[in-house]
Amino acid sequence: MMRKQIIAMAMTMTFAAVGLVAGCSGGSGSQGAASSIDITTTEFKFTPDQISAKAGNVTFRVTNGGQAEHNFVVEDTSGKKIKAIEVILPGKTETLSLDLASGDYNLACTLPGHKEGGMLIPLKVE
Amino acid sequence: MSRGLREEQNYEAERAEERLYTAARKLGVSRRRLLEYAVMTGASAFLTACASKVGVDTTQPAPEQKPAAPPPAPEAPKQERALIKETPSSRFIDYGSNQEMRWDQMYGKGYVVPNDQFFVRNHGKTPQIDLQSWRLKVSGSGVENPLELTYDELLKLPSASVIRYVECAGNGRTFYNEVLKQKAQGTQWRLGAIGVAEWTGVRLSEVLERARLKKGARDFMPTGLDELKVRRPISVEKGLEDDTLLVYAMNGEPLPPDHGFPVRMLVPGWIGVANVKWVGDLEVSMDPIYSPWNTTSYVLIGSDYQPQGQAKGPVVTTQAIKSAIEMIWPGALKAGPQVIRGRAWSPFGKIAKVEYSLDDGRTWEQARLGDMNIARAWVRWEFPWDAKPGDYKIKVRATDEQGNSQPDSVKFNEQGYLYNAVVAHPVTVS
Repeated sequence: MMRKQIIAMAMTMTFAAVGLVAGCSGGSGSQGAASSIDITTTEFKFTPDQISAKAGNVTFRVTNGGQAEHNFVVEDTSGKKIKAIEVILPGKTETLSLDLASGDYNLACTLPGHKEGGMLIPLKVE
Repeated sequence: MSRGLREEQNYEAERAEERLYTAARKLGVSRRRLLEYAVMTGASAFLTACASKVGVDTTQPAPEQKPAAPPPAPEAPKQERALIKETPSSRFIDYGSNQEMRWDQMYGKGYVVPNDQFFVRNHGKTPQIDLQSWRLKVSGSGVENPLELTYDELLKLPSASVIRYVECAGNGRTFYNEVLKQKAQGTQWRLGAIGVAEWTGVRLSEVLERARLKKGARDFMPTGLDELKVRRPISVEKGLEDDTLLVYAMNGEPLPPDHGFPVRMLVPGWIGVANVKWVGDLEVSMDPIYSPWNTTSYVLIGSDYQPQGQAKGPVVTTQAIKSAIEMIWPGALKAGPQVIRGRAWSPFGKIAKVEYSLDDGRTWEQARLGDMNIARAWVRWEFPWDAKPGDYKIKVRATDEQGNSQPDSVKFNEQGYLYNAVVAHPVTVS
């Protein structure tokens, strides 16, 4: 039991740390607070590659730091689109805001081949 | 060899050839090989290519038009370019690794699109392939004699040259947003993701014959040597058509790197992605082949479409009949006599007629078609217009010899493919 608790604590700390790396700024930190997350796309990955957010309104600021166009799609774990930025030109930053309940999601670029090339990462909302 | 270098045009032509040789040498293609390309593809294409190098306009000057809209200004510092060829805003609309041909720059130009104006749709940085180590590998359950060919071995096979168009499946995608108010994912092309070129290479059937294609072989899949390894399954039946080629020359030049050097597929009438660039492998199979490129991408997804087998929606294969005006968007003309020009194309055959309307589709007149009208390429068309000051929308509707016409509207699909409805090109006459 103790071992499980330690692992759970470690995972919580990891997600919190990743959230900071991702540029997550979360108001008071209470449930439902708005948060903002910075993400960079290149060929063919997201940076950071693990992201967590607090349940509530989440704003993704996505910068295309690559040479090809990308898009940014919040999906459920079955791959169904929830909301998307349909295209982000190289060098541009676009934002996407949506309300997310606690749970597991995916972030993806669904342009041809990009997801299979590595542009698919998990999003943990707590 | 002197051609009267004091004559400016001769001087420029001479320099253009030198630049051509220099570019070819960088690709590892010898001057002798380049001359062979010129012989194989005919002097006309070779000269067209040379002319394009120095910007020689062989026809009438374009009507006065507004300067091009500036390309989208990136907010981040400029990075290493994805492409090798120059893509100035005077010729292209910039989307990073994708570059849209500016239609106004084709006004009155020749039948083919010069290589330096040809649109680019690449998924990332152009790979630079070492010719010495490159091999075309043909394998799979559909052949009895798997084989590998070097570049020189491929070039020694009987060659074929055809004039055909290649077009991105998403050409016209921006109209889903502008007309239907539904933005599809991907490059927001207007209508410039198309080009016609003279392609020279080896018929795929020649290679499959040497690999002893098995009776009943179903699909083949070329795989690109780019970072994403683009791989689009294609039916063997399509592969055996006379104009399905493994291409190594484009408009009389070695295939430029951004267009697939050393070898790309030409699959006329099919969507652009089937014309796989930088081909390294050809898998031939007795069974249907699936890849993300015919199951999740290049399929029609939306409320009007249902999944089909392993694919998320109907698989997009054949293009659709379309037309475009050789004019900047929105257009601007001076009042007075004008000649409106454009091109129309169909994957199903020659263009039979092109109609235009200046009154939002209430009345239609027929445009005059050019003499060259090659199936799976295009036809140039034109009509005279005594333009009076005012704001107009020019509509153009093409019909091919099979009776296919551009529709008034199309249904939305999330990936934005096959928009071929009649578009209204805005023009201000002042």
